[in-house]
Amino acid sequence: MRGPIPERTLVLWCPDWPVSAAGHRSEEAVAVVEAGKVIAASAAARRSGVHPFQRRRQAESCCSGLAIVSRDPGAEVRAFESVVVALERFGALVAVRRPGWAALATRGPARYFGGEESFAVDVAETVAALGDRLGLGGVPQPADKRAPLVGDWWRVGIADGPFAAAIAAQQGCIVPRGGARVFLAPFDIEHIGSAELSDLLRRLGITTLGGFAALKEVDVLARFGPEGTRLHHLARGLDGRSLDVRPRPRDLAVETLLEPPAVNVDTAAFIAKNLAGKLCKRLSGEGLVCSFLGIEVETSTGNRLERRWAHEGAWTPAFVAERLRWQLEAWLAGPDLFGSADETSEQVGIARVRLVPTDVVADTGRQLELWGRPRTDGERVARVFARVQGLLGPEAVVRPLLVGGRGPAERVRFVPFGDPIPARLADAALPWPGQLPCPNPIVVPQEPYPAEVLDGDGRHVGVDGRGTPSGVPASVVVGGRPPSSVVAWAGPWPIDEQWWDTATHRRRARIQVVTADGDAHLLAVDRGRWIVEGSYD
Amino acid sequence: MPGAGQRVRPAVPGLIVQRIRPLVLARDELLPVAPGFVELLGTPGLRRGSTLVIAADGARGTTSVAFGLIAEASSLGAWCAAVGLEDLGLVAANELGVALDRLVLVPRPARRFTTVVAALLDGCDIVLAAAPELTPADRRRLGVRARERRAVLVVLAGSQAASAVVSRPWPDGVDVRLSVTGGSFTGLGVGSGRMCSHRVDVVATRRAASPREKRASLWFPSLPGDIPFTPRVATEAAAGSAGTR
Repeated sequence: MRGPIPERTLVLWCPDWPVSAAGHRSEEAVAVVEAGKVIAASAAARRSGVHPFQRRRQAESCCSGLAIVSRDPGAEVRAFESVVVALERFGALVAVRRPGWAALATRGPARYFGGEESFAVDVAETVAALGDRLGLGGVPQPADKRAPLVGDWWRVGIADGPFAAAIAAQQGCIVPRGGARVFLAPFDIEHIGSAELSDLLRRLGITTLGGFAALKEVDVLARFGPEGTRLHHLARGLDGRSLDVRPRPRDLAVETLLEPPAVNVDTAAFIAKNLAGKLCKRLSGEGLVCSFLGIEVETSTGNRLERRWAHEGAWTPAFVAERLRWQLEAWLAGPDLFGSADETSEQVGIARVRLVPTDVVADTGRQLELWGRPRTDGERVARVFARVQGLLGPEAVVRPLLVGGRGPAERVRFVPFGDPIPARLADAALPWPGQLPCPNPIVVPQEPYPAEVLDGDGRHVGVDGRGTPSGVPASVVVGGRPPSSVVAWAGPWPIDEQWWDTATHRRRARIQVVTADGDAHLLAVDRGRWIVEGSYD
Repeated sequence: MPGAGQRVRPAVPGLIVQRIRPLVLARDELLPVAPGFVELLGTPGLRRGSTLVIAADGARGTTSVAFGLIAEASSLGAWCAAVGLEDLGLVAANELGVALDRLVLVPRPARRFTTVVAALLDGCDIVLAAAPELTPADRRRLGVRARERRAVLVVLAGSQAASAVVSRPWPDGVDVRLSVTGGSFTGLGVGSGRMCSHRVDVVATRRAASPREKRASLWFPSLPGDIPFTPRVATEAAAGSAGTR
């Protein structure tokens, strides 16, 4: 079995990109830290024993004068963008696997630049010249004649396929066509990129890529399956993956300028229709759909408003126009647009509308039900809720989720409609001893409000550590209303939650009371204070 | 021998039958309700396009009646929205049979109440709304929107879960008005027992049914002694036969 012929690939690798992106040179002792752990260190720091996954304190103890920088993934991407743009001058097919790692197909450009060697040197010089802008050394360093492809913070290599090219970049060398297998043979098996496989192979006595490549393909397939075969191909220098090309969503945004600015809904709707048609034409022309659509509006006073709409599936012009219209209507009617200048100046209108599709993916079509209808319910309803979200903001429309807990308030979480369900929720299916049995109160105040429980002599009723009340509840005062006498009550039911954690530890006792005026409440006492947790209505 | 030698037609799944039927029958325009409500409403279900008002008339229980009313439809797939009910106890709503995955809340519509309810009537089957004081024009508009969109508008007045307080809710253009006139709680003793159920006495004033007025008692969440609890409501007659009154 032979895969496709590997494509000649140039890889640009910036070994400690988080450090470089933060504007530090490799000879400064710098560590980039995220969540208390080192994720990247400069060469100088690594020489003193700092390494990734180390705890911050350990890193500081093994390297005196270590500068700690907290990680900024956004800045890493932004800084790398300028490098990628520089690479795009050499060829259109730039694939970025992560900030600090970019690959470029060299077949065409290498011929244009007079061979792979001079092409690689050209790329290296261009990248080195960027150091100035990134704050990584003022003058481009004079190219070292012995290693022209290794810089202070970057390395360049060319080989067959991205896998071999990545290793070539680590070495800063050019591997001739067909020489990948020989080149890769001495490297440690860890380079294969699968910790599981390399660990197993090591225990089987295979410690180099060459050793792995020497195995018969059928044996590898029998023992390690298709994934193993794929890695076996890599080790043999037969990396047939094509470069996944960087998407370019920036071309897809559409915008329109309004002169004079639109102040009424009808004008806005007219724009909405045109703009939506333009966007959809552009998207469908490229066979794409987007999962988010950003609507950006600039008012005549210079205010900027922005909202993102989520939708699975195709955006038809009518669909986009509808949302855009709602959003513009909501903004024109709402207070946001007018911001500060409502009374003083003339009417504020919409001066510019821009639609930005994000999360663009290839359009794979949409499943319709038998009889050709769309899956009505969900879609129709989602559209309506989206409209209300446009009016009131995304957080104003919520879905309730039942989660685990004991009291009626803690058993419900609210998630804005359209948002994913949070992953870590208490499981409602688990037994929750001490949970209030059915029926729960149907009125649960967002903020529990104070109450008072009094016995026959008008004294405060408390509940002691054993769950015994200090008196018989005779009247209750709820939310500042006059006291009403208790005709029936039950409890108290003490609960002692999260006693293992001082921050969240909570002791409560609950009682249910029915008052003479026909109200029923669920009351709870917490540190001597009564609150209304719920009412039956 | 009946059926011997006769060709047996395979049963067509009910859902498909509904889909391919050319007409919309009157009974398809009904959203199912729990048995206790059938008598009160005068129809076997909630008629799409109708407007109902549930009002407190000197007693507690409007919120329970509202959620009891929509529970059956919700559990059978209807989408419901609740507007202006800030302090809702969703666990209780779930116990009454409301499917929370098809319930969406707009707790604070603020000044946009009418717009929000009108928008929701476009897509939801049932909209529960705790209305603030509205102008007759707004009320008419919402009623018409519900009729047009074949949705059910249920207006709550005097619910403790709502912050809006209204003096005279929705006086006209209502198909059924359910007034909560009395009720009691069972299960609680003096320092013993626990809350078991809530009886709510309801008077229904109906526009298109005879007699115009109908009284019944509903039990939430079920009859006392019914274990395990099943979310359902019972009429006065059923309650009487269970020997609780």
